[in-house]
Amino acid sequence: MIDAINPTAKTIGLLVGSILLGVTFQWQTNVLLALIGFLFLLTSNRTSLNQLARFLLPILLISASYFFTGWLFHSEENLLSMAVDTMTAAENPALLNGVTLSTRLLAFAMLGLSFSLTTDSNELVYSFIQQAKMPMKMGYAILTALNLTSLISQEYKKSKLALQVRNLPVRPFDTKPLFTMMVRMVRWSDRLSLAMESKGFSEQRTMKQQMKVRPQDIVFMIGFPLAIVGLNLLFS
Amino acid sequence: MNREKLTLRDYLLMALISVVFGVFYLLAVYAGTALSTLLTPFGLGVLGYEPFYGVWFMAAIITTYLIRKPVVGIITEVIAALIEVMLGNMFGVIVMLSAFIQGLGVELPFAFTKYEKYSYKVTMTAAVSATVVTFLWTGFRSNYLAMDWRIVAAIFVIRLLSSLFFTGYLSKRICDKLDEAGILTYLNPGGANE
Repeated sequence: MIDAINPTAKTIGLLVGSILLGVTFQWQTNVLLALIGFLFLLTSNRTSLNQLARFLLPILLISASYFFTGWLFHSEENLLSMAVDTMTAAENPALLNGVTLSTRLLAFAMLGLSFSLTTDSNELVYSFIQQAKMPMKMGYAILTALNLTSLISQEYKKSKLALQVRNLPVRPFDTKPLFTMMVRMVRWSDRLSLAMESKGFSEQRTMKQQMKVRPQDIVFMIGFPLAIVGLNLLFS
Repeated sequence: MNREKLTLRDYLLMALISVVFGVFYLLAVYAGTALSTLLTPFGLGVLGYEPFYGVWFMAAIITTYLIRKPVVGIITEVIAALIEVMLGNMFGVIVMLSAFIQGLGVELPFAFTKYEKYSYKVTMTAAVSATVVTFLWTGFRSNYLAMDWRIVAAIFVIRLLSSLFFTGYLSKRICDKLDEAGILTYLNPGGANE
């Protein structure tokens, strides 16, 4: 379902929706939004249950950490306002504070995942170039770097190995291999740009894959944030 | 101020450096998640990522130092976020907005010097401004108003210390070494490399 939405429209819809989530303080809205995000992921052909489970574990851990913080280290002023607002909150406002904070984070993460895992990288960049007026140079630089990710990772390992064979220890966050990588990236950027420009790369490049904005994309872009506003009104 | 347009080489350098830092970011995420999990039973899990927060501003400082053109810091952070999202970052689209805010925080002090000064004073100021701007943003996102003020103060202080170390000191040190190796003269021939 969400796979077919134009990536720029999806970005705007989910971005505005996430900002609106920032002004949402009801756990019911948060839970519903997390479920909507989960539904987006379940109906997507670009993600599997295994992949989803791998991402859900750290999300649940962070969500739990927010629950404990909200529960054990709550703001007294916030509890007071919650107790005045709701009857249930008056019974155990600290617990409700924890639930609200943790579900808020869960909702952010589920909406985030429903974007990351259901959007094709190439389509996203093409759409940003065509619909959001991203400079062609920037778009292709991103795609280039993305395609070189595994190579860069290998180079980084080689840089560390080169130090280790000289009996120089490499600790996590060590700057020595990072320095080597920076020099390499300067060289790579120079050579890659020369190679691309010598092959005729320019801002006037035509693109075979045309990304279109259809009525359903507009409906999602406007409708999703409106749905959050509606849920906010419903639960407030 | 260098008002020349960003070239393909500039964009490629920003993107490639973002990927290199992606390795560091991943390390920070693993370390942060582990620390968060350990601190969760005590209600201090929200502090888990804070000691590593400065790592997220490093790429912007380094590219701003190397390329020396306006908005490089912001663009680097946005590119890094886009690459993270494409690789499956769990916070998805909101990361792009966070990245814009982080880049803005880093870039502000450089903009005030018209991109002419790259001293420790400026990088340390960039660390402070990035901390303040991101603190306001994460405060909105994570609703700090619902938390005890002491936890919120701890978040700010730890993030500030992390930024001062990773962003203000370590990034500047790497940049100075790159300068000593002649990288700056190579990238900006004829430019003022102060």
